Amino acid sequence: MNLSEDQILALAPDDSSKKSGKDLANPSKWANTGVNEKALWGECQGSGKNPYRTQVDLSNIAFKCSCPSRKFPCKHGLGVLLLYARQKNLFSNGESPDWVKDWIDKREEKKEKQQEKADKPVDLEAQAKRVQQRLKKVNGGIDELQLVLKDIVRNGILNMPEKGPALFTNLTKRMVDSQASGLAVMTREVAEMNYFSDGWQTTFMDHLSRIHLVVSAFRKMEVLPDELAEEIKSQLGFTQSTDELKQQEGLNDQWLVLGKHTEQQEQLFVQRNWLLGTNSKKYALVLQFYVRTQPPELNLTPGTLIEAELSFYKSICPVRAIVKNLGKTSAPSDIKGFENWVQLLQFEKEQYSKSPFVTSMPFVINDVKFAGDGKRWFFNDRENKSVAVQCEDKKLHKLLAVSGGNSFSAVVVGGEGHYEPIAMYINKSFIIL
Amino acid sequence: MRAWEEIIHTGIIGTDKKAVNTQIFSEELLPLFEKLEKEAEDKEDFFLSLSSVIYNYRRGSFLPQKETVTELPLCEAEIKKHVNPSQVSSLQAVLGDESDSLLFYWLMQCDKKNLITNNELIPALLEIAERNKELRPFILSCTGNRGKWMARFNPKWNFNTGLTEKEIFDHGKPDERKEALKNWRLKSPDEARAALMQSWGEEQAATRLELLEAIEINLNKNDEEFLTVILKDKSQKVKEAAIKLLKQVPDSFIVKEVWEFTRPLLLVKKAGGLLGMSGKETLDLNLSFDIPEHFKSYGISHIDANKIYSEKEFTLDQLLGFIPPSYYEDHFQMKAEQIMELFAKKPETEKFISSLASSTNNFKNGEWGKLLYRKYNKLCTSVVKDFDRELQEEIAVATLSDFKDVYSVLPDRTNEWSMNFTMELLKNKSQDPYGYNRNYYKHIIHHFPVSVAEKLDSITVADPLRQSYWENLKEELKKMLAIKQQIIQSF
Repeated sequence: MNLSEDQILALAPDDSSKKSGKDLANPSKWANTGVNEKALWGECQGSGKNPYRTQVDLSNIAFKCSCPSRKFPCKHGLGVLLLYARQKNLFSNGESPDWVKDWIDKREEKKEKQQEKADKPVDLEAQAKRVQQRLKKVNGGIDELQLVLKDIVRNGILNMPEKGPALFTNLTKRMVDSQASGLAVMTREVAEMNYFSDGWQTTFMDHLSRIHLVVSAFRKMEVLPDELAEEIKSQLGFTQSTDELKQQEGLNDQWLVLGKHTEQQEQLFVQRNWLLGTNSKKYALVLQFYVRTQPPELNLTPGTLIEAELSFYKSICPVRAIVKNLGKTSAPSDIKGFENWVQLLQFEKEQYSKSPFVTSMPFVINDVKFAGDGKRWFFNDRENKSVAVQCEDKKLHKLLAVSGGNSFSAVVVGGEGHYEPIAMYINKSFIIL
Repeated sequence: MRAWEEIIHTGIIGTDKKAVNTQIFSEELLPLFEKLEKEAEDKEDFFLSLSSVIYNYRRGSFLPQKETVTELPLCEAEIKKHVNPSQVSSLQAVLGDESDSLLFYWLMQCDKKNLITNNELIPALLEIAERNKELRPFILSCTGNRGKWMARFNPKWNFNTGLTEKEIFDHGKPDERKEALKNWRLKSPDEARAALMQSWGEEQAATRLELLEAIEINLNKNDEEFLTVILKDKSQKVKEAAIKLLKQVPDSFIVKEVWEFTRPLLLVKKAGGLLGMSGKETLDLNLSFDIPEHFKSYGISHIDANKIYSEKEFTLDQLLGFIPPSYYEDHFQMKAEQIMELFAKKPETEKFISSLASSTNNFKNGEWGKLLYRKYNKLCTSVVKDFDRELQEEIAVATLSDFKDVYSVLPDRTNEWSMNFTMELLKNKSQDPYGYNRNYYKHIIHHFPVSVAEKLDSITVADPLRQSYWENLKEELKKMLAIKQQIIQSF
């Protein structure tokens, strides 16, 4: 599996790690470098007496390093992968040393243990009791939230910029206290809103509409179909047991990792991995939550194809999933997405009509070309129908340079006629933008 | 979308003062809104429910249109081959290191092999070309047709490729015009001068001064007429620039006039040598002179700030610097070496060897330059470029502490320096790692032989306070040299 520099850098936890990783992609820093189909390894001389032993599991990208860094992956992990991408001839092919072999074996053992753990029975009665207690708390929080929302619309939203973030920051705390973590995320988004941008009124009303939708649906949850009720609970922040999910039958497919986005919410990192099933044509979102000192369970790299079984969360419109079983990683030989904009927009519309809670997600559209006059840019599909391109110049220039005016497959995210490209596939190469 | 505008409008004013006008909504939605109103707890609840419905309706209602904006033309197919993955990797390493020197080196190798870079890195290279004029021609060559095609998407990348110097000079921006005139002077000095003469009256004083700088390139006798005309320019700075240029034209009226005045001041005495052999000749300088008043406008001053010369000597020194070396050779009927010996014979004339160096510098005489350096240790920087590399490096070693810019004595930006010189430079500059930091090396590292990395540890820094900084710098140098090695291997 050959990862490009952009793909490797996409694994970095922050910009400083990217820079340090690049600095370490230097042959003079490394000794005893090697590679086989399972792992990549090397010894890097750091400030300590002994060199740091750095290893990468290549079948399911994972890192281990003897350095004291709390970042995952550390700069040595990124450095050795970058060095391999640049100068493969520096890595001897062959059997891994014991310290690499031990780690790879332990990882395999751990996987088996996790499987055993998942087989243990769950106390359903206790679980239901806990849910009821929590719903009671959520109810209290929602009463308060509704009061505030009504106050805002009664008096008008015009003076919201002057009020600043305090109102919604306090509401966020209240939602956390009432165990409605999903609503806490939504209110935090309002607190962090930029009131200096044009059209803030629309953004603000969008947020309010989404919150109201969840809140009012929660009030009517008992009369709603089970799947929709599950969706609402999930919007409120109720999680479904991953153990249960692992027990249900998953969807086996070759999943293309379309994109990855990590954001920090206080001490917690939330990582969104968007996947597309190459056979099932199903889109999936794999969320990972982790703290800085603990690495995420999976390291998915945009542009790679993973053999995996995914279990989807119960929902009227199932998108969120967990990776139940993970197989080999490879490079895609082709990408099949939507044929044209009408098809893509129709799919989006169906999603919204099934579940109004669906947020924007990346889609693949084939055979698009650029059109533009230097000021406005569009993606034209093969039927010459357009949507506006929304992205910064740097991304736009990369897209233009790579495409040269030819058609390509684009991974786009957006809605309402404006789409931002996040990756492209052209000449059998997946390029992260 | 009118419905959403109505929501925003009501939201801004507040439901206390305004109710949503549902009449503007599509008729098919009205029963739904009536249901929502009926079920709502109050008007705020109704407004928020309406807003939620229309928000979702808005999201799903977009239909793609056939835009009138035209599709982009396809980029012309490339003639040159693209670089291979290992060459791409080395370029990525170079760009990651932000070293212009290593980038120059990579581009040179790419250009030599007649290759072009991979498309993905073209914008990054064009951004560099935007700020770095020296790298620009190489970048344009190595980015092929795709690079030229990209210029249409960013006006800053429109580097006037494909335009003639005349077209750029006639229609370009001030900087571009100056650059074009310089290039034009290199190719066809007379045409370039004629173009400048033609536009002269329409140029602003500051622009005239800027453009005049280009005339120094391939300066020749044909330029005299133009330079003489512009001596009457209103701008004092332009006049001074014209005089400076006329002083460099060996047959200009200024040079001739100064020579006619100076010649009688140089008296060769034959000291009764056998059959008039030159070894017995000495030089007497007549210091009883008064220069014509208008000579002052040629930039001749009276007061020596360094106080080496008397007032007359100082004036004579400047007059001698005006005279081309060929005039001396004709006048004394001697070769360069003999003339210098003649000046060096007596202490009162020896001090004027530096005047000969000024003349050599002014008229760029390589042969005189070499002799002056070898025999009298006088460095004429304008002719160093004509010296062989060994001598250049020798001079560079001797002047390491004098010149911050090593290119003033080693002007070739393409070649690799010898190990000996590289080590001398490093030994010298490493003593001041703050002044000569990474930024300094990242502009010259491509000249270093890669194997110098192994010798870096042998360099010691005298000042203990600077040792740790040098240690860090040394690591940076090793890293840059490793990238150079990677470039070499990849090509």
